[in-house]
Amino acid sequence: MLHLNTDIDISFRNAMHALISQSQQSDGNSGAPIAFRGIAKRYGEVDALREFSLEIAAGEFVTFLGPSGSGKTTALNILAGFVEASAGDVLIDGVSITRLPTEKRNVGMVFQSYSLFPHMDVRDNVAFPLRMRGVGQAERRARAEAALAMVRLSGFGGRKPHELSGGQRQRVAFARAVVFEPRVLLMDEPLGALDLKLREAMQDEIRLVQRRIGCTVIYVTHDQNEALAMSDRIVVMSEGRIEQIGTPAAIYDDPRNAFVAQFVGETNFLPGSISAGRLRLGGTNVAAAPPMRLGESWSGRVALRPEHFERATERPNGPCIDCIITDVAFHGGSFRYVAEADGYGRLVVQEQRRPDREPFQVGQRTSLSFGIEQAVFLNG
Amino acid sequence: MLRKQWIAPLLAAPLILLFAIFFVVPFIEIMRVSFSGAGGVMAGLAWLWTSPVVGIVFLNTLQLALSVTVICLVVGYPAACFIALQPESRRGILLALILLPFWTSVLVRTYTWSVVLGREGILNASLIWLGLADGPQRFMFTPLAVHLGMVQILLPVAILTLVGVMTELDAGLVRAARVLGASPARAFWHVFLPMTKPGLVAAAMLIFILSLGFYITPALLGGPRHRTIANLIDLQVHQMNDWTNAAAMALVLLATTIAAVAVLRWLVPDRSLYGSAR
Repeated sequence: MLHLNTDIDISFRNAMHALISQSQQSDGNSGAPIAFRGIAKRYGEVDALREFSLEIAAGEFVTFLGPSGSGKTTALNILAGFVEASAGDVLIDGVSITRLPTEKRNVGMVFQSYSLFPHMDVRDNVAFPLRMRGVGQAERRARAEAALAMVRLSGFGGRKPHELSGGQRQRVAFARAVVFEPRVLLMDEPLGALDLKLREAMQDEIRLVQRRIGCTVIYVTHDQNEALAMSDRIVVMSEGRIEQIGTPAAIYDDPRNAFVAQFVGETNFLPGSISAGRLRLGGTNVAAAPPMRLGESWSGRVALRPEHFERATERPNGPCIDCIITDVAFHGGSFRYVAEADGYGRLVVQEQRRPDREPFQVGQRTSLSFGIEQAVFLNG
Repeated sequence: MLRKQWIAPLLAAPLILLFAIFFVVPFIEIMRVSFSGAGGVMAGLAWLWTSPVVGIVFLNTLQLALSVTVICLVVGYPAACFIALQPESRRGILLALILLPFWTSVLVRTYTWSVVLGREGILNASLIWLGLADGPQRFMFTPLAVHLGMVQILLPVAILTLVGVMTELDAGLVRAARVLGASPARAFWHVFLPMTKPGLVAAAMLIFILSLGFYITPALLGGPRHRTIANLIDLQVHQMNDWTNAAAMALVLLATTIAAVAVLRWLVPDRSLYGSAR
């Protein structure tokens, strides 16, 4: 994603460099490793989190991705010290923090509602963590200004939070969270209240700042696009459990189960079975070799991404499916089709735009093929 | 749009009507009657200025109102914190308990204090029984009695106002302060307390204004030596039958109240009262 304004971008980078060279003089500005060891949290009869174990490397950007009620915020709140775990231990830099009060954990945090102090101006908000750490007024002021410059809000120090736009408040909240150079930064749906354009621009900025500062980030979101775009690793969660941990590409290409396949990216599920080593999809025999690991007999679902489909040619790259196009949507660089296929149901198909071929029309009959090696075979 | 234009005045109409009939009209009438006598308003004000009693009573009233306000806020604040931190169901019960005394008339509650504080009262009996006092102590007709009575009556005002503000407060702000390095005490001092300032100002304003006009409690518990302006006005009307002087005092009391409100508004401007980060 490119920045909309190059001049602003350059000044932003300069300010970044200034901040980083300044912070490099002080110690401990790199990230700290984090470990969750068998964390569980029960609310009465409800398991908000169970057997949550995770090792996060220093400087890593890890996203907890899941729907509401999946336990992602609970895990974050246990790390921050807002919630006490029923079992397990959390370590930062190899040291247990379970018994430390919130203020001693030395983590930065950005909240969805920003939680800026309305009675303080922007500068005092940003300087607050420094003030709590006994930093003198002159240094406090200088460092707050540097942090504000980093988020491109120089000159906004004297304003009150309610005089700022949503995006500006978010930047202030971010500046406040990193001004004391924490080794761990927690972000709880920080972009949830912003509109799409701003959200994408902010994703880039957060990543940029994080890479330069080097802090370990745990980012909580229910937005899979955000998770895929920003993370080094994603932890997909549902109902208090970890469903899968992996890089964005690994999770997208090789979802472990139907929940992950459905929650991360768009997925078509085809009913599939193997009997006597032969693969059947939606009741039709398919002339393709199923994965060896599934053995002679198997029944489940086959997941395919919308972009895995191609127009069937004379020599198709795999199984073919006959269908009727029922909807066409223009997406700039690509088209998104909805197709109705006999025996398979509704399929979502994405196709790159190319000058040498006409897009499908609604009502058009066609044949689509896919490479069997791209299909993910899911049990159940 | 058309609906909005007439609905607002319509909604305010009953209040405006009530205010006009029962406050503005009688007020103007009293002023007219009072100042139509010999000398008029200037005579009344001149008497106020020259009378040695009025000045002292005035200062006493202001001091009483101020100290009652401060005591109500200091005692009410922790109580309000406690109630605001309770789960919602329990909060309702506690607020109902706070409201309970409101259902009893001020007169009854004030007389109850004289039962407690009198020579043969419960307090003296208890003190003697415990061996903390040799004989009956004097509690009635002291500043202590007046303060006790007024604080007991006005404390619910402080608590209700403060609980309202505290429950509205975004708990996330205190969490944010904590995670950013503030101990519980510093989070309270730097975030919670300033955020409840609107409630403190509103409660202070209400209690101070109500205290300035208190009549029954000082009269019954304070006796003649601890009169307030309201008692003095009553004295002028009922015993001296001097409406001009009474009206002059009422005017000065009103002016004092307005001045007090103005000072508070000036100290805490609207902007910081209602400005929010959300």
